[in-house]
Amino acid sequence: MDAMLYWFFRHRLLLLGTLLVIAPLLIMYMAGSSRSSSGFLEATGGTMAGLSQAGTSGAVDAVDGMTTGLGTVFGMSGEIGRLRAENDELKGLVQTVRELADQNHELRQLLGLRESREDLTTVAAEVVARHVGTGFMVDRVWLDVVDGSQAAPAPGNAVITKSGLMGRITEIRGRFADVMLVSDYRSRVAGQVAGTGVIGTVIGSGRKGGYVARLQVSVSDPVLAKGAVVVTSGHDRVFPRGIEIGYILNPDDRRQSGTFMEYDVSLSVDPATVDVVMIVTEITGADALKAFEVK
Amino acid sequence: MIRDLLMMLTALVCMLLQAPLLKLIGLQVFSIDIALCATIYMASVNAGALGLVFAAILGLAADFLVPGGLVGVEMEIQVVLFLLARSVLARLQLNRAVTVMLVVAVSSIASLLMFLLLSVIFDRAYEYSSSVVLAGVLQAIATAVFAPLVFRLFSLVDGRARRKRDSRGLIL
Repeated sequence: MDAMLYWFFRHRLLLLGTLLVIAPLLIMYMAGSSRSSSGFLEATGGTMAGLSQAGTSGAVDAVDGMTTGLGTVFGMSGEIGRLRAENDELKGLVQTVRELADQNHELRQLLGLRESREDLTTVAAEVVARHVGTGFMVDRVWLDVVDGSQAAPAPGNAVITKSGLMGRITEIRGRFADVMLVSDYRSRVAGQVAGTGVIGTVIGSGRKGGYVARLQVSVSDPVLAKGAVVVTSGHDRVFPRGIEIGYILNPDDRRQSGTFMEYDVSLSVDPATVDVVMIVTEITGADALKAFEVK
Repeated sequence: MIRDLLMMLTALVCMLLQAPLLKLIGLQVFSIDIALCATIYMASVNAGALGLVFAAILGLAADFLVPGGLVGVEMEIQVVLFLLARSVLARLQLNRAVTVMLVVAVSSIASLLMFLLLSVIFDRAYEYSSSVVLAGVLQAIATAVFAPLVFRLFSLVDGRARRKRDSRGLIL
């Protein structure tokens, strides 16, 4: 027994190394086979990570506001300094009021969106983590305001803002959801150019600088105008019809890709400026359309 | 034990702070692989079993903190990097900024290659894209450039944990 324990102790790094090399492979195998549904580990880890990220973001924002005020107070001396500090403090207050007004405006617009699209059942969610550095353009939202009477958000649900389409939910981890943005290179959205009848697919560019995608239409379609609005067509049965995706950039830069013509599309939603989003959990009338499906 | 724990906590705090701070200064395009820096640092100062466990925990934390990734990929990468780094760093002293940058750059590229390989094997939702490679290369460059600073931070925390400052300093 002692000899065995001694052997384990002597080779602990080798044993531990082997164990820790195999364990992630098993985790990846299980997680990779069903990306949309989360197991216990993913749900627990995702919830803990989401809560930490929400807390850190809040703390950074709070410290940023405090340091702006403190910096001016400590940096001055005498009566002029006091007046300047007061002035800066007032400017800070004005800034805070403006931010609150912006937030209020954003929430009112979201409320307006909810009321104007009665065909959609939506729930609100707060963005807690944004994509940085990696090739994936996926943000994390906190499903904090889920009403028990409504359908819970699920993978595949569309995520919209007052400005248009932001993306779709790819994973639910506890009370947090990962949202793949329209600009992610894996994203595909069935779209149509408003007022033209041209339909196509909006493909994420994956570019880090600027939120840009590509609209793929048939080569036989007429040349699209600069600034033409691209909206969701609803043909993919994922995104509700009529949600704004973006605008056609310069049509002169269009290029042919096989049997398709590709246009650059500037996306309507800049996720960096979005704090609250709406998740479309149900589309009224979507079930009725199933009757017309060709089997 | 305390040293490694403190190192891991420092790395975790840095990982958590990174995204909101980058958003604050409007530099979301760039990011530093803090977990990789911490793993290399731990492999250079404590190449024992405890360091390996903490590197694995850091990798798992990175998996959960980065939205969109497959759980387990970063954990695997950090464990393999730790095991590789401990054998290489036994013959190499990380006491110069250039050496740190070089080691971290090579590790970042190895990390990117492992990420691509593991994604192809295990992630059904994965599709190859040049944007992933480009983002990985950009992150490798940013990580290598800022690695001496990150190592300096770890060195300070490590020195405090030992209740004395390392007079040699890990870098510079």
